[in-house]
Amino acid sequence: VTDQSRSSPDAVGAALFPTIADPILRPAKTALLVVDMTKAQAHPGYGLGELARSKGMGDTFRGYYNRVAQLVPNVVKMREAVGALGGEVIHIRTVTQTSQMTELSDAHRAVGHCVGICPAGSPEAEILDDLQPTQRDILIDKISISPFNSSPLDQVLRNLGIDIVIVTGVRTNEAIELTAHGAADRGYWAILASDGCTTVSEELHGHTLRHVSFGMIKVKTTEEILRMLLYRDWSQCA
Amino acid sequence: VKDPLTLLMPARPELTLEPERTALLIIDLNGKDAHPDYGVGRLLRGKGVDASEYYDRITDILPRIRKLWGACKQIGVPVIHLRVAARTTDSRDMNKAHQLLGPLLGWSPVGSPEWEFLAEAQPGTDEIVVNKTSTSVFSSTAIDQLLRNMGVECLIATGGATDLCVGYSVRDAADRGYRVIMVSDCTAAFTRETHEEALEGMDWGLIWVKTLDETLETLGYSDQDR
Repeated sequence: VTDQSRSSPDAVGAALFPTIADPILRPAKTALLVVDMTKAQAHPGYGLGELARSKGMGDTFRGYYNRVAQLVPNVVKMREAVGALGGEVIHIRTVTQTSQMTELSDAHRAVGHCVGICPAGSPEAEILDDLQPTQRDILIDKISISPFNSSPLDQVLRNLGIDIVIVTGVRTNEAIELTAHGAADRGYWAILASDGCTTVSEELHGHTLRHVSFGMIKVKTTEEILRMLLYRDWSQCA
Repeated sequence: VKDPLTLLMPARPELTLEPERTALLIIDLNGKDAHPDYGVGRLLRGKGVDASEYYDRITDILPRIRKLWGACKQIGVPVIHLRVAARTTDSRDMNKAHQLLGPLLGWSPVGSPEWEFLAEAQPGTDEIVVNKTSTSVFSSTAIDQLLRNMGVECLIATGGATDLCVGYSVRDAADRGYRVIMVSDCTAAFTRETHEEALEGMDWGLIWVKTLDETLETLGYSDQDR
């Protein structure tokens, strides 16, 4: 877990962005967002992992996939809690409907495979086995980094009556940061799960968490989030 | 810190700009965010925090922004001024995040010195002002529609702060498919370190970080045009 005591890396930031009280997590008003946990983005055998290996950079990405493996059980815990308490679980993928990814912007298409964008029907577009959406979960596809830039997420959250989003998935310095920021900028509370997201560079992960943690973005661990939800796993009491 | 993901990416083509499809954004050069005596500046002074580095840098970038602004006017690139601004005197139309941070960040209600643009950044004739109630201009305004109506596909971003209002606005713009130049010596953050980290973080594929001189060159503008 990264240093969360500092709200910002400098005195100016600390003076500008003092602590605002945590929101009350009412489950019915809460959505867990699971962002980009597709095989292309988060499975070493597909997409990014395959590309890195083919370029002889498998070692550079090993730590990333280890951290992804560590965060998955945390996301599973949170989805169980949010689901059991009557909240919403929303899976978000970056996938195209066309095989040549023609609906992407030119700049996105130029880097598409290198950031894990893939055609919707391909095996690598599937969500990781351990996080497969349930019947009740919602699936939203986007063609940009932030779901607020190319998907109806904002409208869907409003229709569902959501006030608070818990943001999990990959990668901290891009989709996770922009999703949390986009939500807070639109008036939602955003809880960023520090041990429910990661990126290729551990240093960038920590840097991003420090940079975003002000105002309506709260950086919390899975344990803290479960506590905020007042979640008890009664199955343990049998 | 460079994202190791960039190691996987192919070399980028040089950015080409069509001036007739480009707009200049001048971001948050109003009292609240850019004047040491108002808004954020006054609040920081009240807390005994020295933010002179930021305000010195604003003073530093203003003449360069004005040079770019003049060049854009001359070659017909539209100029759009953004600011965080309430439509009401009690700021009740600001987004919830700004409502919560309001007492700490300062308000910019309509007509206040916080709301006013700096003397050196007053919008000229036929220039556009977009008032936002959020950090990223795409979260609370019709700028996407406005740019489409104007046929704009490329944006040149200047102003402050590099990692907040400018940073999140350009990252959203690039994410929505605009080709974006972030002008490194026409933007400012509260510390040099924050400024450079923000630029490094966005310079990997969707956004081109360039100096003023490089930007003028990309626009095909030379001083002889004056």
